Amino acid sequence: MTSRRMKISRFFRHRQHPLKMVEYSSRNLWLLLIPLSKYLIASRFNFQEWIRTNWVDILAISGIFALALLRWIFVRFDIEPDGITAHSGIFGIVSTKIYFSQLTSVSFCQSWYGRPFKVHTIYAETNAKTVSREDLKLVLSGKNADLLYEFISNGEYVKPKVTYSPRKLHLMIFSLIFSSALSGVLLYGTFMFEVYKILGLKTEQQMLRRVNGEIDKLDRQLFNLSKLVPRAVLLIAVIVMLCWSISFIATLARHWSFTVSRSKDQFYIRSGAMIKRRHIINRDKINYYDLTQTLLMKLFRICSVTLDCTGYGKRRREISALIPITTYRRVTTTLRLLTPDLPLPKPEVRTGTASDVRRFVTLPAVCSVLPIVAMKLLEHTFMGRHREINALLVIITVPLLWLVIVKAAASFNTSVGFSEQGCVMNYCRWYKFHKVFLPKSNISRIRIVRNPLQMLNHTCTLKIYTVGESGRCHTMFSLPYDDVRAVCMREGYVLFE
Amino acid sequence: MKRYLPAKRAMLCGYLVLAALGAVLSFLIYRYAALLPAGTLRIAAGVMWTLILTAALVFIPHYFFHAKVVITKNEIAASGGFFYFKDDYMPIGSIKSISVISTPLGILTGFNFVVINALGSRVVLSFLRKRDARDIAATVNSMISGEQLLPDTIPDSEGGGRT
Repeated sequence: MTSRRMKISRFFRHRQHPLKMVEYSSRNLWLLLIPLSKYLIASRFNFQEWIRTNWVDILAISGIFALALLRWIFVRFDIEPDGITAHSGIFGIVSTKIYFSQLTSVSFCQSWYGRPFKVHTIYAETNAKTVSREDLKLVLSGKNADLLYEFISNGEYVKPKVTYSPRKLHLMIFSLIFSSALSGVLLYGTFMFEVYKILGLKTEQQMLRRVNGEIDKLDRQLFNLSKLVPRAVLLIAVIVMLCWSISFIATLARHWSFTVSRSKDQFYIRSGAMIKRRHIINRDKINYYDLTQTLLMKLFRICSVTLDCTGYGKRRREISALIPITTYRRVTTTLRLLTPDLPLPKPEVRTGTASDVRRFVTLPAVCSVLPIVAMKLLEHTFMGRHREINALLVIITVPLLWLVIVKAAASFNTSVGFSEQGCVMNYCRWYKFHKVFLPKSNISRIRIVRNPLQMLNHTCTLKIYTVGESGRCHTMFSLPYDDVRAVCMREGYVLFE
Repeated sequence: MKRYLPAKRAMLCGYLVLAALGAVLSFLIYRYAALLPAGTLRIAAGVMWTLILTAALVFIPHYFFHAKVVITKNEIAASGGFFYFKDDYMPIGSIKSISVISTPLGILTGFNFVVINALGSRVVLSFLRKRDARDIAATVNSMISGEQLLPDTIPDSEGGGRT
């Protein structure tokens, strides 16, 4: 009996306070609005009847909103010399202190609808993994947000050492390159979900029908493309184009008026047209710098510099840009100005032989042949649909062929190198080329993988994991094993026989 | 430097699990897939047994003959892989926490695992003897807290613990 009591007592000793259960439940109480609205619609908006029958529910929901008011009253923050303390939760009983020295980034966002009310949402992030998505989120007035900005930046943002701002034309090119149909689909999906939440399914369907009708009308009046291209393919093409345009506008709006300034310890980044964003980034908390390029950017000798720092570029598919776009000629100079203490080692182990080209190209080449074979096999199943099948074949094969070209270029652009302080990695992931610079202390793991084929040709795949919230892995294929081994041993890693 | 090898009992258990899996799947195929034509049944059973035999003759021996863990004062190195050869190197400085997963009957089966968590990555050390798993956890925890340095002498253990 005593031992059972002890077990029960031990079970409860290390649990949170039971009051937490109330907090866990309160988040979903808004769901009660659904049956209440249903009754209101059922009673054909007869408010008197509705109140008479549902007064208990209405009272309960009013109570919930009263509780929200109370919560708003109790949630507060204090700016202290060494950090910020936020009191949140019911009656402000949850107190979180974040030291300024531990902050990785702080973002101040002002949405278009928050601007008239001078509302700023502040996201403060550290490298600690917390239960919620961000370590600290506060919604503050403009005055308080400015005060906090000044405090965190220690007033240094008014006299930065270096400031860089790209031209508008460069920003257009940047948006052009970094926009994707997939991001557009996600944005459009988010928008339609919001419409569904606010106006309901019927209005959403009406809206979709209207869009389809407009596309049809446009085609009939202007292009008459449906006579040349199958309707289904045309519709897909228009949807992809529309989604890409949405993504382009969103990326451009996000990075409009982009300015980055550097002080002794921090970066100050401002950007955005619709949503005004200000970021403060602690420079010593940056995990790595990434010079990103596509093959076309390589040909035009331009690149984009992004950085990996917990919190920056995390929300709403933002790009964590440091220099949105610049030329090869200017990138080193700009990087030296913005990050004078960043080690820039030279690559030591690299690919680039004829057999490397074959190894890089084989898999995508096989993949690009597969759709043609599949279509040939399916030809008999879909008799009389040659036009659609051919169009689909082109849609699938062209990106795969482009991938073959990209991988051929990647075989000359894969390398790794270490210096006393830093590390450089050149590699290609899908269609993008990356050149990553980081201090060696930010490497969290190195993995060397060899498959039986690589054992035969004395190559290996080197994976370098970097510290950070996302746990990014940088993969370099087909590097010469003996050279990688020699470099790793020189760097102090005890390698297996 | 400390060195650990995977538990041989885990290898034996792996074979037992595979044999049991083969028997159960064979029973299920012939008992519940009787409606299928005999040729299809034979192909299904053939594919299944090929996979099981490949696992038994290639994957399991490959892992257990290749896997090892080495802890030095600067890093943890783990070698493994069922088909590939994978060598992991994690600097001690980047380790944030360590978890030990001991399954029920872990002493008998050797199904004990150690998960080493760093900021941004994780190394899983699999199929260790229970004593080795606890020893690794204790060693790494003491190295994280800086309480003691790694001894130069190596404790003698059945599965591992060699220089």
